[in-house]
Amino acid sequence: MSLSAHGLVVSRRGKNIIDGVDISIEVGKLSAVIGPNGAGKSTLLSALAGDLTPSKGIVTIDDRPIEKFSPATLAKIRSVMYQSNNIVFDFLVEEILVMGWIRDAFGRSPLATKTVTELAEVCGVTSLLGRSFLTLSGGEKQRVQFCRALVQLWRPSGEHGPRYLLLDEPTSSLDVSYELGVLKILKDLTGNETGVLVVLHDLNLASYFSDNIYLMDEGRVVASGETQEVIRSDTLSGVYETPISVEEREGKLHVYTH
Amino acid sequence: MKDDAFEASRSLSLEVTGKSRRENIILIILTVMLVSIGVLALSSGAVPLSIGALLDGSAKDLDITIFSEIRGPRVLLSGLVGASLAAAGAVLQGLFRNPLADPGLIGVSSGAALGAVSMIVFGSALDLPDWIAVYSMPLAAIIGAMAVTFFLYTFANYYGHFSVVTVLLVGIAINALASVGIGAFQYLSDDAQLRSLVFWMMGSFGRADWITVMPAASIMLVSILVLIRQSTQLDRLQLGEAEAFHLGINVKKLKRLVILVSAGAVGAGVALSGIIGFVGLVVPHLVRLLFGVSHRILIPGSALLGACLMISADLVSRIVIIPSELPVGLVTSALGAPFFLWLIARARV
Repeated sequence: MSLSAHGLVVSRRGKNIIDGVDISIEVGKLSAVIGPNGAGKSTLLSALAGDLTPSKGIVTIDDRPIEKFSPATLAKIRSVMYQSNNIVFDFLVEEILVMGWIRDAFGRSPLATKTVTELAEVCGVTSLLGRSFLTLSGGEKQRVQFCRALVQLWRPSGEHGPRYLLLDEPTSSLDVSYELGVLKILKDLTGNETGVLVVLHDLNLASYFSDNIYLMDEGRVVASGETQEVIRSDTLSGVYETPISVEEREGKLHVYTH
Repeated sequence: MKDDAFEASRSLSLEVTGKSRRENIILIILTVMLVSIGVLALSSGAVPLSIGALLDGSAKDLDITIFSEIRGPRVLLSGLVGASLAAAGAVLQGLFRNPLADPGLIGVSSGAALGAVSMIVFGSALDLPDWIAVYSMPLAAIIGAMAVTFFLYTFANYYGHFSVVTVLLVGIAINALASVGIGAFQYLSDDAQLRSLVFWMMGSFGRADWITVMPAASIMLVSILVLIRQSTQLDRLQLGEAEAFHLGINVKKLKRLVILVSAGAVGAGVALSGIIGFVGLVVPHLVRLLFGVSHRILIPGSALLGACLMISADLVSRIVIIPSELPVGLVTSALGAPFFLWLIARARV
């Protein structure tokens, strides 16, 4: 069971932003996409989310082409968190979270309330629930959007089937403790029939938490595989064009720049 | 920590269930307000009427005629036009994610006016049967309104996201173009057409009668109800178009529907009453300030409050200089324009 792309090409104004990418987000695994700025990470995520139609190649969910899914069906099996934050009107945090509830039309059921309350606690946004979203700091907004993405994926314990969660730098504005919190939550989700793909720029976070890593550069995947195969001094130094060393201590990889 | 979580969950559940109850209470209060204002508007004017006498059958024939043939359709029309403009304003602001998108300011009403004027001038040449002619002006106005909304949206999509200022600038251009068209039609029209054009352009509910009101009224009523049904989806659209799609919304379909139906509401209103400005801007903002930004309360709340305000404005226009009347557009603009300035002054826009 996987959300995959095969031979994916996305071009804009004659330039290939994604240039022949194969990627597979497997259920039960946490996959990370890393790479320098402008490598095409966010565009890849958009294509996998079904937001843009690739020029070539195909995106499939559990072997079925993504364009065969209706938006409503797709929403039940995959959730997405983007970096964008262009909310104009003055919604309360609680209203934003309830928007993630797609299991009944209005998000007014006791179950919706209970779920939102529980997940708000898990994501550390309980104290923000009654506040206006527009007045939050960047990190607080990010935690709320993360929580909304989790509300969308919630299901009762008896329900089964593969699900996918795609996140674009979900921790970019978070402090260290929330950063770890978010990745632990993602790791836990993989134990519940979920495939997670997360774009990260922090190489240490990527190497601590991910099962697979895709290293991107100029629209291509230049290295992929299990974490220790990709997080290597020579590979990283070449792609990032800066000296990077990798040390293994107590079974974990540590990445240093000089 | 556990206790905190429990406390929080309790307060939230109270808050959420309390919230839908709060919404219902707000809508009931607004409905009561609307009914009271409606009764007041039916009974006041150049000839005072007693609603009690009308109900128990003791009213004079003349009073009954004034009530059923003059004030009845007039109050119904002003209420529905107010509700349509306000609901369409709320929805267009949501669609463009722009707090200043008013059907008048961004040119949708002008588009509708151009459609209606073309029907005044060319309609007689088409020689339509009466039952179609009643619909032809609202229809032409709706097509005009739709063309403008669709153009604005395509333009906005082509250039990425529209800034608040760009929408208004494009609105200025569209309004200018529409007035060129209207001017040309005035030049082309004969004396009788020119006369009905000029009366129509002043924006008034004064010529309302059941035969002309009913078709447009049904279009407006249906449009408002359809718009209210899109509340949850419009809320999610506020997260962004991609985000709304991720939450399972067919964004293209939603946008098409909203453009079509809000144009229906504005077009039918403009066809019967001319361009009445600022209602679509002021009312949704009042509702947001008073009751919150969720479309679940915003759309029905704007419709009800818009109806209240428009019936009151029409009442004012009828009674300040009895037996003459002010154009109602004058009253709404006198109230709306300062509010618009205040909105601009608040850095929030």
